[in-house]
Amino acid sequence: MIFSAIVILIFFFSLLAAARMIGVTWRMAIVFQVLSSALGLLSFSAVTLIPQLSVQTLSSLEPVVGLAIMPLTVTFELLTGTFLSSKILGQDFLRFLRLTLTAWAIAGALSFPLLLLLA
Amino acid sequence: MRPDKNRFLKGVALFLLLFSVPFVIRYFWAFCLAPVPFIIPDELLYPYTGRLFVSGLASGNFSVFKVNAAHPPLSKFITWLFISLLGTSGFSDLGAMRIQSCLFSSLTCVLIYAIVASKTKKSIGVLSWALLSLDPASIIFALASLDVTSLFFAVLSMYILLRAPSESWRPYLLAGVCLGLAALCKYSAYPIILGTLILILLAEKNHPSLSAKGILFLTTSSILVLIAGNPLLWPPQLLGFSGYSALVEDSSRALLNSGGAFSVLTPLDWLEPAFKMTSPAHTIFYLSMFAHATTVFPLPIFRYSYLPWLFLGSLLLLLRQQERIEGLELSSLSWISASCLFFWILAKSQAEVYYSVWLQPPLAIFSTIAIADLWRRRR
Repeated sequence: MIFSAIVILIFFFSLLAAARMIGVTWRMAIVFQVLSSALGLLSFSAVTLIPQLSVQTLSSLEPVVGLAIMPLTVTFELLTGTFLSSKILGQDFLRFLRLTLTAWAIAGALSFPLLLLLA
Repeated sequence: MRPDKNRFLKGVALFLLLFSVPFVIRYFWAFCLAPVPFIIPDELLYPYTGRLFVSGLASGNFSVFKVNAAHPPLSKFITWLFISLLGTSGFSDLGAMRIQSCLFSSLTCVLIYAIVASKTKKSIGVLSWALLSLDPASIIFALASLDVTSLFFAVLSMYILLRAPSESWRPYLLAGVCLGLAALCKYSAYPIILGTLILILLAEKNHPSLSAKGILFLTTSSILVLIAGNPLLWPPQLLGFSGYSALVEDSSRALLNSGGAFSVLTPLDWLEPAFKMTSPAHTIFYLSMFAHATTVFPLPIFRYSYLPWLFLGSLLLLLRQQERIEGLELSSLSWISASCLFFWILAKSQAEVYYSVWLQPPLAIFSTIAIADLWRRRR
Protein backbone atom coordinates (compact mmCIF):
# COMPACT_ATOMS: atom_id res chain seq x y z
CA MET A 1 0.00 0.00 0.00
CA ILE A 2 2.90 2.32 0.69
CA PHE A 3 3.96 1.90 -2.95
CA SER A 4 0.58 3.19 -4.17
CA ALA A 5 0.72 6.20 -1.88
CA ILE A 6 4.26 7.11 -2.98
CA VAL A 7 3.64 6.67 -6.72
CA ILE A 8 0.35 8.58 -6.70
CA LEU A 9 1.79 11.49 -4.70
CA ILE A 10 4.94 11.68 -6.84
CA PHE A 11 2.87 11.54 -10.02
CA PHE A 12 0.61 14.36 -8.80
CA PHE A 13 3.54 16.66 -8.10
CA SER A 14 5.27 15.61 -11.33
CA LEU A 15 2.13 16.58 -13.24
CA LEU A 16 2.14 20.00 -11.60
CA ALA A 17 5.85 20.42 -12.41
CA ALA A 18 5.32 19.32 -16.02
CA ALA A 19 2.37 21.72 -16.35
CA ARG A 20 4.59 24.58 -15.17
CA MET A 21 7.37 23.59 -17.58
CA ILE A 22 5.02 23.39 -20.56
CA GLY A 23 2.96 26.44 -19.62
CA VAL A 24 -0.37 24.78 -18.89
CA THR A 25 -2.41 25.89 -15.87
CA TRP A 26 -2.52 23.39 -13.01
CA ARG A 27 -6.33 23.25 -13.21
CA MET A 28 -6.20 22.35 -16.88
CA ALA A 29 -3.42 19.79 -16.29
CA ILE A 30 -5.40 17.95 -13.60
CA VAL A 31 -8.68 17.98 -15.54
CA PHE A 32 -6.87 16.85 -18.68
CA GLN A 33 -5.05 14.02 -16.89
CA VAL A 34 -8.24 12.67 -15.27
CA LEU A 35 -10.23 12.84 -18.52
CA SER A 36 -7.37 11.39 -20.54
CA SER A 37 -6.81 8.43 -18.19
CA ALA A 38 -10.52 7.61 -17.94
CA LEU A 39 -11.20 7.91 -21.66
CA GLY A 40 -8.06 5.94 -22.54
CA LEU A 41 -9.05 3.13 -20.18
CA LEU A 42 -12.65 3.11 -21.43
CA SER A 43 -11.55 3.05 -25.09
CA PHE A 44 -9.28 0.08 -24.46
CA SER A 45 -12.08 -1.58 -22.48
CA ALA A 46 -14.23 -1.35 -25.63
CA VAL A 47 -11.42 -2.89 -27.70
CA THR A 48 -11.20 -5.88 -25.33
CA LEU A 49 -14.53 -7.08 -26.69
CA ILE A 50 -12.58 -8.36 -29.71
CA PRO A 51 -12.07 -12.06 -28.78
CA GLN A 52 -8.33 -12.01 -29.59
CA LEU A 53 -7.86 -9.06 -27.26
CA SER A 54 -10.34 -10.10 -24.56
CA VAL A 55 -9.43 -9.66 -20.89
CA GLN A 56 -9.39 -13.46 -20.49
CA THR A 57 -6.94 -13.81 -23.38
CA LEU A 58 -4.73 -11.01 -22.08
CA SER A 59 -4.70 -12.34 -18.53
CA SER A 60 -3.82 -15.87 -19.66
CA LEU A 61 -0.73 -14.78 -21.65
CA GLU A 62 2.74 -15.85 -20.55
CA PRO A 63 4.14 -13.19 -18.15
CA VAL A 64 6.89 -12.24 -20.63
CA VAL A 65 4.40 -11.82 -23.48
CA GLY A 66 2.03 -9.90 -21.19
CA LEU A 67 4.87 -7.58 -20.28
CA ALA A 68 5.95 -7.22 -23.90
CA ILE A 69 2.52 -6.03 -25.09
CA MET A 70 2.18 -3.50 -22.26
CA PRO A 71 3.86 -0.68 -24.26
CA LEU A 72 1.36 -1.24 -27.09
CA THR A 73 -1.62 -1.04 -24.74
CA VAL A 74 -0.23 2.01 -22.97
CA THR A 75 0.44 3.74 -26.29
CA PHE A 76 -3.13 3.05 -27.45
CA GLU A 77 -4.60 4.40 -24.21
CA LEU A 78 -2.27 7.38 -24.17
CA LEU A 79 -3.05 8.40 -27.74
CA THR A 80 -6.84 7.89 -27.58
CA GLY A 81 -7.11 9.46 -24.13
CA THR A 82 -4.99 12.47 -25.10
CA PHE A 83 -6.78 12.91 -28.42
CA LEU A 84 -10.28 12.82 -26.91
CA SER A 85 -9.50 14.98 -23.88
CA SER A 86 -7.56 17.59 -25.88
CA LYS A 87 -10.57 17.86 -28.22
CA ILE A 88 -12.98 18.13 -25.26
CA LEU A 89 -10.90 20.90 -23.66
CA GLY A 90 -10.26 22.56 -27.02
CA GLN A 91 -6.48 22.35 -26.64
CA ASP A 92 -3.52 21.27 -28.76
CA PHE A 93 -3.05 17.47 -28.92
CA LEU A 94 0.76 17.53 -29.12
CA ARG A 95 1.09 19.96 -26.23
CA PHE A 96 -0.97 17.69 -24.00
CA LEU A 97 0.90 14.61 -25.19
CA ARG A 98 4.12 16.33 -24.16
CA LEU A 99 2.57 17.18 -20.80
CA THR A 100 1.74 13.53 -20.05
CA LEU A 101 5.10 12.21 -21.26
CA THR A 102 6.99 14.81 -19.21
CA ALA A 103 4.93 14.02 -16.11
CA TRP A 104 5.57 10.29 -16.58
CA ALA A 105 9.30 10.87 -17.09
CA ILE A 106 9.63 13.00 -13.95
CA ALA A 107 7.49 10.58 -11.89
CA GLY A 108 9.49 7.59 -13.15
CA ALA A 109 12.83 9.23 -12.44
CA LEU A 110 11.77 10.18 -8.92
CA SER A 111 9.82 7.11 -7.85
CA PHE A 112 11.97 4.31 -9.28
CA PRO A 113 15.00 4.84 -6.97
CA LEU A 114 12.70 5.50 -4.02
CA LEU A 115 10.75 2.28 -4.59
CA LEU A 116 13.99 0.30 -5.01
CA LEU A 117 15.20 1.71 -1.70
CA LEU A 118 11.92 0.78 0.02
CA ALA A 119 11.97 -2.75 -1.42
CA MET B 1 -59.99 21.84 -10.02
CA ARG B 2 -57.42 24.45 -9.00
CA PRO B 3 -54.36 24.73 -11.32
CA ASP B 4 -51.97 24.04 -8.38
CA LYS B 5 -53.80 20.88 -7.43
CA ASN B 6 -53.96 19.81 -11.05
CA ARG B 7 -50.22 20.27 -11.43
CA PHE B 8 -49.60 18.32 -8.23
CA LEU B 9 -51.74 15.40 -9.42
CA LYS B 10 -49.95 15.41 -12.77
CA GLY B 11 -46.61 15.33 -10.93
CA VAL B 12 -47.71 12.39 -8.78
CA ALA B 13 -48.95 10.48 -11.85
CA LEU B 14 -45.67 11.14 -13.67
CA PHE B 15 -43.66 10.01 -10.63
CA LEU B 16 -45.71 6.81 -10.35
CA LEU B 17 -45.19 6.06 -14.04
CA LEU B 18 -41.45 6.82 -13.94
CA PHE B 19 -41.08 4.70 -10.82
CA SER B 20 -43.29 1.74 -11.69
CA VAL B 21 -41.82 0.82 -15.10
CA PRO B 22 -38.20 0.32 -13.89
CA PHE B 23 -39.53 -1.27 -10.69
CA VAL B 24 -41.58 -3.88 -12.58
CA ILE B 25 -38.59 -4.73 -14.81
CA ARG B 26 -36.25 -5.08 -11.83
CA TYR B 27 -38.87 -7.02 -9.83
CA PHE B 28 -39.30 -9.48 -12.73
CA TRP B 29 -35.53 -9.99 -12.93
CA ALA B 30 -35.13 -10.31 -9.15
CA PHE B 31 -37.99 -12.76 -8.53
CA CYS B 32 -38.41 -14.67 -11.81
CA LEU B 33 -35.02 -14.84 -13.48
CA ALA B 34 -32.15 -14.18 -11.06
CA PRO B 35 -30.53 -17.17 -9.32
CA VAL B 36 -30.97 -17.40 -5.54
CA PRO B 37 -28.59 -16.19 -4.18
CA PHE B 38 -27.15 -14.08 -7.00
CA ILE B 39 -24.51 -11.94 -5.28
CA ILE B 40 -22.58 -14.16 -2.86
CA PRO B 41 -22.05 -13.78 0.08
CA ASP B 42 -23.72 -10.34 0.22
CA GLU B 43 -27.30 -11.53 -0.21
CA LEU B 44 -26.87 -14.05 2.60
CA LEU B 45 -24.81 -11.83 4.87
CA TYR B 46 -26.65 -8.49 4.92
CA PRO B 47 -30.10 -9.63 6.16
CA TYR B 48 -28.28 -11.43 8.99
CA THR B 49 -26.13 -8.40 9.86
CA GLY B 50 -29.19 -6.13 9.68
CA ARG B 51 -30.98 -8.19 12.33
CA LEU B 52 -27.78 -8.44 14.39
CA PHE B 53 -27.18 -4.66 14.33
CA VAL B 54 -30.75 -3.87 15.41
CA SER B 55 -30.67 -6.37 18.27
CA GLY B 56 -27.23 -5.00 19.28
CA LEU B 57 -28.49 -1.42 19.28
CA ALA B 58 -31.58 -2.40 21.27
CA SER B 59 -29.49 -4.11 23.96
CA GLY B 60 -26.69 -1.53 23.92
CA ASN B 61 -24.18 -4.14 22.72
CA PHE B 62 -22.13 -2.19 20.17
CA SER B 63 -19.66 -5.03 19.58
CA VAL B 64 -22.12 -6.41 16.96
CA PHE B 65 -20.88 -3.66 14.65
CA LYS B 66 -17.55 -5.49 14.39
CA VAL B 67 -19.31 -7.97 12.05
CA ASN B 68 -18.78 -6.91 8.42
CA ALA B 69 -17.19 -3.70 9.75
CA ALA B 70 -15.70 -2.90 6.33
CA HIS B 71 -19.12 -1.65 5.24
CA PRO B 72 -21.12 1.01 7.11
CA PRO B 73 -24.50 0.06 8.64
CA LEU B 74 -27.25 2.20 7.06
CA SER B 75 -28.15 -0.08 4.14
CA LYS B 76 -28.29 -3.04 6.53
CA PHE B 77 -30.67 -1.11 8.81
CA ILE B 78 -32.86 -0.39 5.78
CA THR B 79 -32.72 -4.11 4.92
CA TRP B 80 -33.93 -4.91 8.44
CA LEU B 81 -36.79 -2.43 7.97
CA PHE B 82 -37.84 -4.12 4.73
CA ILE B 83 -37.59 -7.56 6.36
CA SER B 84 -39.79 -6.37 9.24
CA LEU B 85 -42.35 -4.77 6.91
CA LEU B 86 -42.50 -7.48 4.24
CA GLY B 87 -41.80 -10.57 6.36
CA THR B 88 -45.46 -10.74 7.37
CA SER B 89 -46.48 -10.64 3.68
CA GLY B 90 -44.64 -13.88 2.96
CA PHE B 91 -41.35 -12.46 1.70
CA SER B 92 -38.15 -14.22 2.79
CA ASP B 93 -35.25 -12.14 4.18
CA LEU B 94 -33.51 -12.33 0.83
CA GLY B 95 -36.74 -11.42 -1.00
CA ALA B 96 -37.28 -8.37 1.21
CA MET B 97 -33.70 -7.26 0.53
CA ARG B 98 -34.30 -7.65 -3.20
CA ILE B 99 -37.40 -5.43 -2.93
CA GLN B 100 -35.21 -2.82 -1.22
CA SER B 101 -32.67 -3.02 -4.06
CA CYS B 102 -35.37 -2.80 -6.78
CA LEU B 103 -36.96 0.19 -5.03
CA PHE B 104 -33.74 2.22 -4.72
CA SER B 105 -32.59 1.30 -8.23
CA SER B 106 -35.96 2.47 -9.64
CA LEU B 107 -35.85 5.68 -7.59
CA THR B 108 -32.41 6.36 -9.08
CA CYS B 109 -33.99 6.18 -12.56
CA VAL B 110 -36.58 8.78 -11.46
CA LEU B 111 -33.78 11.02 -10.14
CA ILE B 112 -31.92 10.81 -13.43
CA TYR B 113 -35.08 12.01 -15.17
CA ALA B 114 -35.32 14.87 -12.64
CA ILE B 115 -31.66 15.93 -13.13
CA VAL B 116 -31.84 15.97 -16.93
CA ALA B 117 -35.36 17.45 -17.12
CA SER B 118 -34.43 20.29 -14.73
CA LYS B 119 -31.45 21.29 -16.88
CA THR B 120 -32.82 20.61 -20.37
CA LYS B 121 -36.27 19.53 -21.61
CA LYS B 122 -38.72 17.01 -20.17
CA SER B 123 -38.52 14.89 -23.33
CA ILE B 124 -34.72 14.60 -22.96
CA GLY B 125 -35.27 13.69 -19.30
CA VAL B 126 -37.63 10.90 -20.36
CA LEU B 127 -35.02 9.59 -22.81
CA SER B 128 -32.34 9.47 -20.09
CA TRP B 129 -34.83 7.72 -17.77
CA ALA B 130 -35.64 5.17 -20.49
CA LEU B 131 -31.96 4.52 -21.21
CA LEU B 132 -31.19 3.85 -17.54
CA SER B 133 -34.40 1.94 -16.81
CA LEU B 134 -33.80 -0.51 -19.68
CA ASP B 135 -30.03 -0.77 -19.24
CA PRO B 136 -29.10 -4.46 -18.71
CA ALA B 137 -26.23 -3.69 -16.27
CA SER B 138 -28.49 -1.50 -14.11
CA ILE B 139 -31.15 -4.24 -14.08
CA ILE B 140 -28.83 -7.22 -13.45
CA PHE B 141 -26.73 -5.54 -10.77
CA ALA B 142 -29.71 -3.82 -9.14
CA LEU B 143 -29.49 -6.69 -6.64
CA ALA B 144 -26.30 -5.25 -5.11
CA SER B 145 -28.23 -3.72 -2.23
CA LEU B 146 -25.40 -1.75 -0.61
CA ASP B 147 -24.33 -0.20 -3.91
CA VAL B 148 -27.79 0.70 -5.24
CA THR B 149 -28.93 2.18 -1.92
CA SER B 150 -25.75 4.23 -1.67
CA LEU B 151 -26.01 5.22 -5.33
CA PHE B 152 -29.55 6.54 -4.78
CA PHE B 153 -28.39 8.90 -2.00
CA ALA B 154 -25.29 9.88 -4.02
CA VAL B 155 -27.41 10.75 -7.08
CA LEU B 156 -29.84 12.64 -4.82
CA SER B 157 -26.88 14.66 -3.52
CA MET B 158 -25.79 15.47 -7.09
CA TYR B 159 -29.38 16.39 -8.03
CA ILE B 160 -29.60 18.89 -5.18
CA LEU B 161 -26.20 20.37 -5.99
CA LEU B 162 -26.55 20.68 -9.74
CA ARG B 163 -29.74 22.74 -9.48
CA ALA B 164 -28.65 24.81 -6.46
CA PRO B 165 -27.86 28.53 -6.70
CA SER B 166 -24.34 29.17 -5.36
CA GLU B 167 -25.39 31.99 -2.97
CA SER B 168 -27.45 29.78 -0.72
CA TRP B 169 -25.88 27.38 1.79
CA ARG B 170 -29.02 25.24 2.30
CA PRO B 171 -28.61 23.07 -0.82
CA TYR B 172 -25.02 22.32 0.25
CA LEU B 173 -26.26 21.28 3.70
CA LEU B 174 -28.97 19.07 2.19
CA ALA B 175 -26.57 17.59 -0.36
CA GLY B 176 -24.05 17.02 2.47
CA VAL B 177 -26.66 15.11 4.48
CA CYS B 178 -27.48 12.99 1.39
CA LEU B 179 -23.79 12.34 0.73
CA GLY B 180 -23.38 11.37 4.39
CA LEU B 181 -26.28 8.91 4.03
CA ALA B 182 -24.71 7.55 0.82
CA ALA B 183 -21.39 7.06 2.63
CA LEU B 184 -23.30 5.41 5.50
CA CYS B 185 -24.41 2.77 2.98
CA LYS B 186 -21.05 2.43 1.23
CA TYR B 187 -17.84 4.42 1.66
CA SER B 188 -17.22 4.40 -2.14
CA ALA B 189 -19.76 7.22 -2.46
CA TYR B 190 -17.25 9.65 -0.88
CA PRO B 191 -14.36 9.49 -3.34
CA ILE B 192 -16.72 9.31 -6.31
CA ILE B 193 -18.95 12.27 -5.44
CA LEU B 194 -16.26 14.49 -3.91
CA GLY B 195 -13.91 13.66 -6.80
CA THR B 196 -16.66 14.58 -9.25
CA LEU B 197 -17.42 17.87 -7.54
CA ILE B 198 -13.74 18.88 -7.37
CA LEU B 199 -13.31 17.97 -11.03
CA ILE B 200 -16.40 19.98 -12.06
CA LEU B 201 -15.08 22.95 -10.13
CA LEU B 202 -11.63 22.62 -11.73
CA ALA B 203 -13.11 22.28 -15.22
CA GLU B 204 -15.59 25.16 -14.81
CA LYS B 205 -14.10 27.86 -12.63
CA ASN B 206 -17.32 29.87 -12.61
CA HIS B 207 -19.78 27.01 -12.30
CA PRO B 208 -23.32 28.39 -11.91
CA SER B 209 -24.20 26.24 -8.90
CA LEU B 210 -20.94 25.10 -7.29
CA SER B 211 -18.34 26.91 -5.21
CA ALA B 212 -15.23 25.77 -3.30
CA LYS B 213 -16.64 27.10 -0.02
CA GLY B 214 -19.88 25.27 -0.64
CA ILE B 215 -18.09 21.98 -1.30
CA LEU B 216 -16.12 22.44 1.93
CA PHE B 217 -19.40 23.02 3.78
CA LEU B 218 -20.90 19.94 2.10
CA THR B 219 -17.89 17.81 3.09
CA THR B 220 -18.09 18.94 6.70
CA SER B 221 -21.82 18.26 6.99
CA SER B 222 -21.49 14.86 5.31
CA ILE B 223 -18.64 13.85 7.65
CA LEU B 224 -20.79 14.82 10.64
CA VAL B 225 -23.65 12.65 9.33
CA LEU B 226 -21.22 9.77 8.71
CA ILE B 227 -19.77 9.97 12.23
CA ALA B 228 -23.19 10.28 13.87
CA GLY B 229 -24.60 7.32 11.95
CA ASN B 230 -21.71 4.87 12.17
CA PRO B 231 -21.09 3.55 15.72
CA LEU B 232 -17.63 2.34 14.67
CA LEU B 233 -16.56 5.98 14.42
CA TRP B 234 -17.77 6.83 17.94
CA PRO B 235 -15.23 7.26 20.79
CA PRO B 236 -13.89 4.00 22.33
CA GLN B 237 -15.05 5.20 25.78
CA LEU B 238 -18.63 4.98 24.54
CA LEU B 239 -18.29 1.69 22.66
CA GLY B 240 -15.98 -0.18 25.03
CA PHE B 241 -13.64 -1.02 22.12
CA SER B 242 -11.87 0.76 19.30
CA GLY B 243 -14.33 0.86 16.42
CA TYR B 244 -11.72 2.37 14.13
CA SER B 245 -9.38 -0.63 14.67
CA ALA B 246 -12.27 -3.03 13.90
CA LEU B 247 -12.99 -1.09 10.70
CA VAL B 248 -9.34 -1.15 9.58
CA GLU B 249 -8.94 -4.83 10.47
CA ASP B 250 -12.05 -5.90 8.53
CA SER B 251 -11.22 -3.63 5.58
CA SER B 252 -7.71 -5.08 5.27
CA ARG B 253 -9.31 -8.52 4.77
CA ALA B 254 -10.94 -7.19 1.62
CA LEU B 255 -7.55 -6.40 0.08
CA LEU B 256 -6.03 -8.87 -2.34
CA ASN B 257 -3.17 -10.39 -0.39
CA SER B 258 -0.62 -13.11 -0.67
CA GLY B 259 -0.05 -14.96 2.55
CA GLY B 260 0.44 -11.72 4.47
CA ALA B 261 3.66 -10.92 2.57
CA PHE B 262 2.08 -7.98 0.73
CA SER B 263 -1.39 -6.60 0.06
CA VAL B 264 -2.75 -5.00 -3.07
CA LEU B 265 -5.01 -1.98 -2.68
CA THR B 266 -4.31 -0.47 -6.11
CA PRO B 267 -2.70 -1.94 -9.26
CA LEU B 268 0.47 0.02 -8.37
CA ASP B 269 1.00 -2.27 -5.37
CA TRP B 270 2.01 -5.12 -7.70
CA LEU B 271 5.34 -3.26 -7.97
CA GLU B 272 6.18 -4.10 -4.36
CA PRO B 273 6.55 -7.89 -4.80
CA ALA B 274 8.15 -7.30 -8.23
CA PHE B 275 10.90 -5.21 -6.64
CA LYS B 276 11.28 -7.50 -3.63
CA MET B 277 11.67 -10.79 -5.52
CA THR B 278 15.20 -11.99 -6.13
CA SER B 279 14.33 -14.54 -8.81
CA PRO B 280 13.91 -12.99 -12.31
CA ALA B 281 10.97 -15.31 -13.10
CA HIS B 282 9.03 -14.04 -10.08
CA THR B 283 9.92 -10.43 -10.87
CA ILE B 284 8.64 -10.84 -14.43
CA PHE B 285 5.47 -12.49 -13.16
CA TYR B 286 4.65 -9.64 -10.76
CA LEU B 287 5.60 -7.00 -13.33
CA SER B 288 3.16 -8.63 -15.76
CA MET B 289 0.47 -8.50 -13.03
CA PHE B 290 1.24 -4.79 -12.65
CA ALA B 291 1.09 -4.29 -16.43
CA HIS B 292 -2.23 -6.09 -16.75
CA ALA B 293 -3.88 -4.38 -13.78
CA THR B 294 -2.80 -0.88 -14.78
CA THR B 295 -3.77 -1.10 -18.43
CA VAL B 296 -7.07 -3.01 -18.26
CA PHE B 297 -10.23 -1.38 -16.88
CA PRO B 298 -11.53 -3.89 -14.32
CA LEU B 299 -15.29 -3.63 -14.95
CA PRO B 300 -16.60 -5.33 -18.12
CA ILE B 301 -19.20 -2.60 -18.71
CA PHE B 302 -19.03 -2.85 -22.50
CA ARG B 303 -20.15 -6.47 -22.29
CA TYR B 304 -23.14 -5.91 -20.01
CA SER B 305 -24.46 -2.54 -21.09
CA TYR B 306 -25.22 -0.44 -24.16
CA LEU B 307 -24.63 2.84 -22.29
CA PRO B 308 -20.79 2.89 -22.62
CA TRP B 309 -21.19 2.30 -26.38
CA LEU B 310 -23.67 5.16 -26.64
CA PHE B 311 -21.31 7.30 -24.56
CA LEU B 312 -18.23 6.67 -26.71
CA GLY B 313 -20.20 6.91 -29.97
CA SER B 314 -21.93 10.16 -29.07
CA LEU B 315 -18.69 11.64 -27.69
CA LEU B 316 -16.86 10.89 -30.94
CA LEU B 317 -19.70 12.35 -33.04
CA LEU B 318 -19.85 15.48 -30.88
CA LEU B 319 -16.11 16.01 -31.19
CA ARG B 320 -16.26 15.38 -34.94
CA GLN B 321 -18.85 18.12 -35.30
CA GLN B 322 -16.67 20.48 -33.19
CA GLU B 323 -19.48 20.70 -30.59
CA ARG B 324 -18.46 22.37 -27.35
CA ILE B 325 -18.96 20.18 -24.28
CA GLU B 326 -20.25 22.24 -21.35
CA GLY B 327 -22.91 22.44 -18.64
CA LEU B 328 -24.52 19.17 -17.59
CA GLU B 329 -22.62 17.34 -20.34
CA LEU B 330 -19.27 18.38 -18.85
CA SER B 331 -20.51 17.68 -15.32
CA SER B 332 -21.59 14.15 -16.27
CA LEU B 333 -18.28 13.62 -18.09
CA SER B 334 -16.47 14.61 -14.88
CA TRP B 335 -18.72 12.21 -12.96
CA ILE B 336 -17.91 9.37 -15.39
CA SER B 337 -14.16 10.10 -15.19
CA ALA B 338 -14.07 10.28 -11.38
CA SER B 339 -16.03 7.01 -11.03
CA CYS B 340 -13.97 5.31 -13.71
CA LEU B 341 -10.63 6.27 -12.10
CA PHE B 342 -11.84 5.26 -8.64
CA PHE B 343 -12.81 1.77 -9.77
CA TRP B 344 -9.64 1.43 -11.82
CA ILE B 345 -7.46 2.32 -8.86
CA LEU B 346 -9.35 0.00 -6.48
CA ALA B 347 -7.85 -3.43 -7.17
CA LYS B 348 -10.90 -5.13 -5.63
CA SER B 349 -13.03 -3.97 -8.60
CA GLN B 350 -11.63 -6.88 -10.62
CA ALA B 351 -13.60 -9.27 -8.44
CA GLU B 352 -16.82 -7.26 -8.08
CA VAL B 353 -18.52 -6.80 -11.45
CA TYR B 354 -21.60 -5.22 -9.85
CA TYR B 355 -19.65 -2.01 -9.10
CA SER B 356 -20.68 -1.18 -12.69
CA VAL B 357 -23.98 0.26 -11.38
CA TRP B 358 -22.05 3.33 -10.22
CA LEU B 359 -21.10 4.25 -13.78
CA GLN B 360 -24.52 3.90 -15.38
CA PRO B 361 -26.31 7.13 -14.20
CA PRO B 362 -23.67 9.59 -15.51
CA LEU B 363 -23.30 7.52 -18.70
CA ALA B 364 -27.07 7.78 -19.25
CA ILE B 365 -27.04 11.55 -18.62
CA PHE B 366 -24.12 12.24 -20.97
CA SER B 367 -25.40 9.96 -23.74
CA THR B 368 -28.90 11.46 -23.69
CA ILE B 369 -27.76 15.07 -23.82
CA ALA B 370 -25.21 14.28 -26.51
CA ILE B 371 -27.80 12.43 -28.63
CA ALA B 372 -30.25 15.34 -28.19
CA ASP B 373 -27.53 17.83 -29.23
CA LEU B 374 -26.65 15.78 -32.30
CA TRP B 375 -30.34 15.41 -33.21
CA ARG B 376 -30.94 19.16 -32.86
CA ARG B 377 -27.91 19.93 -35.05
CA ARG B 378 -29.03 17.51 -37.70
CA ARG B 379 -32.47 19.08 -37.92
